[in-house]
Amino acid sequence: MVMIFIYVVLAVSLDLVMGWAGQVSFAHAAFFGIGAYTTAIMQRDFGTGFWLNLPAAMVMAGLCGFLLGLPALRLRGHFLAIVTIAFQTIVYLALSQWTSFTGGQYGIEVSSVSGFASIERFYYLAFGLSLATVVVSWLVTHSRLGMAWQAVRDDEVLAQAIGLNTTASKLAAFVLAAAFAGAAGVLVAHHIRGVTPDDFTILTSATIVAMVVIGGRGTVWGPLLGAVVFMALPELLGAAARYKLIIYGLLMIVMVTMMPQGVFGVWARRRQK
Amino acid sequence: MTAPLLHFESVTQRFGGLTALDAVGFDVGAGEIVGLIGPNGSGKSTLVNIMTGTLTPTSGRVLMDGQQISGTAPWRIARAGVARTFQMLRLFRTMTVAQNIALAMQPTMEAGYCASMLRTSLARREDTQARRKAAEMLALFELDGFLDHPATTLSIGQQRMVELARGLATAPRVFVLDEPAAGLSPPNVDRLIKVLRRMRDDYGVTVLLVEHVMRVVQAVCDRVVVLDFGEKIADATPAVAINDPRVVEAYIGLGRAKHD
Amino acid sequence: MNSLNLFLQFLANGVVTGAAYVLVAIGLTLIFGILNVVNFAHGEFYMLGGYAAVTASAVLGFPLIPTLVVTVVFLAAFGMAAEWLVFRPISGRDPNNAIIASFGLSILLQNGALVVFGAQPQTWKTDLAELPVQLGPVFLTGQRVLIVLITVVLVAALLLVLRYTWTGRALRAMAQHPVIAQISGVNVRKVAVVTFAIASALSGIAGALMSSVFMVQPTSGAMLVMKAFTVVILGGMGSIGGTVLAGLGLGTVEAMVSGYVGNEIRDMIGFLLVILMLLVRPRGLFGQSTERS
Repeated sequence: MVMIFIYVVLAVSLDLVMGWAGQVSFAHAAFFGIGAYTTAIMQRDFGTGFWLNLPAAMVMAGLCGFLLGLPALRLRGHFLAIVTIAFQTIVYLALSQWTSFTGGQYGIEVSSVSGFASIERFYYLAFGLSLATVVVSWLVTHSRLGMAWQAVRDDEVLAQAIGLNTTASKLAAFVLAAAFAGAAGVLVAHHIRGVTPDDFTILTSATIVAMVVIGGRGTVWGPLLGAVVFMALPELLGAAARYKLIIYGLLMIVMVTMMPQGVFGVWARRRQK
Repeated sequence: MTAPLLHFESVTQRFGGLTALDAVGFDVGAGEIVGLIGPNGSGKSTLVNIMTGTLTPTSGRVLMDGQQISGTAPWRIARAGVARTFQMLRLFRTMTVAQNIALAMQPTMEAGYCASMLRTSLARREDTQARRKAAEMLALFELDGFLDHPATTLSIGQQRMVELARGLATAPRVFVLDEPAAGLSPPNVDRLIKVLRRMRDDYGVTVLLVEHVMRVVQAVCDRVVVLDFGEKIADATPAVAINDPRVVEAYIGLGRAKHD
Repeated sequence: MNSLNLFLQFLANGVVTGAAYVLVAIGLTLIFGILNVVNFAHGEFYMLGGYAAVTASAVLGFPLIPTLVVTVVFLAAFGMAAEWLVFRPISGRDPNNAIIASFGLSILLQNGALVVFGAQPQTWKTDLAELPVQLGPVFLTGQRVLIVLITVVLVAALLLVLRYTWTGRALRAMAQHPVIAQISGVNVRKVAVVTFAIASALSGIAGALMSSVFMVQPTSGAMLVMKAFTVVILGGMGSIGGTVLAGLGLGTVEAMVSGYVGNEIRDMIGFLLVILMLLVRPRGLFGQSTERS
């Protein structure tokens, strides 16, 4: 259950980049991992706890989002996607090879959050974070920044011609999304009591992308729905859960070819009629 | 004589072996409507793109109020006070008419993204003012009823008016119009002429008008600049320019330019 | 071994790997240059080529040449199926969709292969793989030499086809001016099918050949496609000459880094180069200006 909340944070934040700012990013798991490793390393080296590590990790992840976005957003569609994949892979390689700092393939152990050690208590923490993410996402997308993103999606040339700094608005999406992914990372680190590189691979990124695409890009409930469905899928599949990834892949193809607005997008459109 | 608002200084644009503009220079004074005309391929669009930042000139520059604007990003030029319409008609398809116009005013507002997210009183006040301004603009163009209609549900003629309203709402220093009469029926062309005159007379807007429809050029332009194959071949009042033998020659007997 | 010999050995190894990169990357650059589509599943065609070779030889007992033929046929057909089922329905729409769809295809194929073939790495056993070949101070196996030879032959053949056949000219026309090509009567559908067929077949051959040297597993394609993208970006999208140069170059640089510095950062080099190139000169060494897209 906690994992569902964590993926809600990841999917909703990625949608800021994919659904709103209209860019493709396969680097989300990298920011997820950066957040997780930040809290792990801070706890290991400085002895600090969850409440200090959380903002620190968000800042760290957000900063990395900025550093990636700044050069990457100058590029068009596929080039941007490739750079995000390259970044994701570099982060993964660094986490798994830089053994002295990151513990390599074995990772780092993380202790639980004091006062929230029990599973029910942690559940509330996770719920709180996912709620905060949804609320902030709603506020941002219904603000002038959201309008700017909508403008960029509709017609970027026009957006620039009326004075909107489109690169800056895309960068804002990147940074915001990365920061929340970092927060999710802190949560997961304390939840499973450790961080290892294999929790933050390109496949993880692709799964989050799939959640957003299948749920519905650019909608409030879409990514939320996507996250819940994806996490529930292995339960529903039961024995066939081994085929989970095959189904993810198939769903991504089917959704994009037949229902690009995602499940929620289609439902919302039907409601309008 | 006051310094010109817009100064095109020896603007040259080369694309590989092709010279689209060759040392084109002219001025636009504050409050003037200057027409930019010429046969197809004469370099008008290129000049507009340079003026609005889509292209950087190979050499030469464009100054506005003595400051160089050429070679800077389109959004910066827009914020400096240059509004434009597009030959291909551009509006935000998923937004209403009011949103289209209000969004154009956003870059000049005080409250930033954070204030808007937190819904501060300043942000909300500015939003209300923007909406009121949009309504005012639409009234000017006789489109008041369409404030909250999706922009795409209007006719082409009406959409062009919305484009003009969008630009005018920002109180621009210079308004660049790229073939606003294209595809308009004769009654709409009349309306356009009336609106352009009001923009200059009542709002003091300086306009650079690229146009093929000679009727509009003759009716509203204080001066015209004529381009042919990237060179400036005339810079005079419409009456004088149209009768200039070089201009006639360029249009092969003015039959090429459209008379409505 | 003295240092010159060591250098030459690394160089030779690098050329072998580079040749494989070239074969895979050419397919990618063709698909992008002609159809303006990015295919993230391209590495899986390489992986499937490896499995096709393993299956044909181990299960069906085919010797070298027939195995290669089977691989080519199977992969060409597979590529055409992918084009028809995945890429054609979304062509013309938002390019992000092609990125997501091809990524989905990649995941589908990787995990499908995992289920069908298992995670255990497998090898295509050929006699050439055992055959030692010595060129001066450099030691190679027959199979590795074959990789380079086949790459040379195929690239040359491709260049000839592009220049002198009707199909080739249609492909080049589409790459330069899609609208004009269509007006001139080029059958866009046929071009798309042919392009995918050629690209997949090339990838498949590379996968087959490399599976005899390096073994194949379901994830073989994943890292390789990123290398292929690196090559395409460094050389320039749509430029075959650039791809060849960049492919051989990357293979060589990686071999040098791996040999002299260490294995850990070998894979990172390519990614860092890609990011660098995209920042400094997005069109790559020989690509068209990115204004085109």
